[in-house]
Amino acid sequence: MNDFDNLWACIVHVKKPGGDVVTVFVIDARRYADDQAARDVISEAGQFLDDRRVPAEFEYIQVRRDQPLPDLPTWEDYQRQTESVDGREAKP
Amino acid sequence: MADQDLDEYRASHPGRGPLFDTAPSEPNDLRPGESHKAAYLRVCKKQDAARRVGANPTDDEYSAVVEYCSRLRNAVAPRVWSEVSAIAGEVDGIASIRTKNTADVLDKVTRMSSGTSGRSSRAGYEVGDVVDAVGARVTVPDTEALERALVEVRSRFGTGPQSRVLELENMYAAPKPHNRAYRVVPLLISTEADGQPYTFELQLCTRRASIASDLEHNTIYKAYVESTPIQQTVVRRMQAEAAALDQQETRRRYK
Repeated sequence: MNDFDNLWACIVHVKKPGGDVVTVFVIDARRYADDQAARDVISEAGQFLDDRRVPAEFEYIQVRRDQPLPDLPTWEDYQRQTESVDGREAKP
Repeated sequence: MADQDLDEYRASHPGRGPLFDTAPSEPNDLRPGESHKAAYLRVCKKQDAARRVGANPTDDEYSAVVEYCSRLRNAVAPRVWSEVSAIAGEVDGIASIRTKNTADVLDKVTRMSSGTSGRSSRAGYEVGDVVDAVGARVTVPDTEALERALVEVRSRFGTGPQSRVLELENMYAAPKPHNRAYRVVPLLISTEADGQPYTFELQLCTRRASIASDLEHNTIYKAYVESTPIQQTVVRRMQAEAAALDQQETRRRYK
């Protein structure tokens, strides 16, 4: 998470009612044009979860350039699926 | 450990070297009656209304905490990432960090205020008391690298009253009474972002202790994963063996 590389990923875990923790999506900084673009996506995801008052943790890990990540939905998949369930569109 | 339990093993095969020296007290005590941590948190709360929010916030208070957690995510986390990645790079370690969001911070405030199983309630617990809202971990290959990580941390963050180390616990030297096999060196570090003071928790641990503590945390302490009593016994034994192996490693290095 600095201006010199994007070899990191952010894995997001949400806490369900009752306390179970579920890993819901991953933001792979390597997919984005630069570090700031990935951080903007994290900011957007943070606001999305805050709007819904969903308890969550954002975990950042170092990754190698060719390292595969756990098979998790992307942020865009998670956002689409959540909006289709709760019927709430993202704020413009 | 053969047939010994961990306490018996600790007594008969004591660890050696800096990890097993008594934890230093200078980062913890600023002056008699006030810890460095307490003094710093008092300043943080005074400067930031969001950190004085308690359980059951009003809508306005909730909005203030949203803005605070957004600062943690967007301004504090990148600084912490940069610092802990640099430490990890110096000691062959792997860095990770995590940040809590608004609802998670407030969930902790509610739990701490009302008390949870095995813990008494803490009246007046506030958002600013959630010192691990940003948490970092540097996982290193072995105890030799762990010793180097501690030296690196002291070198970067200083020692004594002006140190950025607000609190340091050494569970090699002083195991926790409620989990005597938990091996980690947790520190509370002060930091700044956009001119405001913040804290983050930094855990230094060996790879084997990290795996053992994650298994214990997720099956017994928080029980995210269901397990039988027999499986829990196995997990506890694995954690004790991981602690004993770390200890044994120091005995080989310091004859």
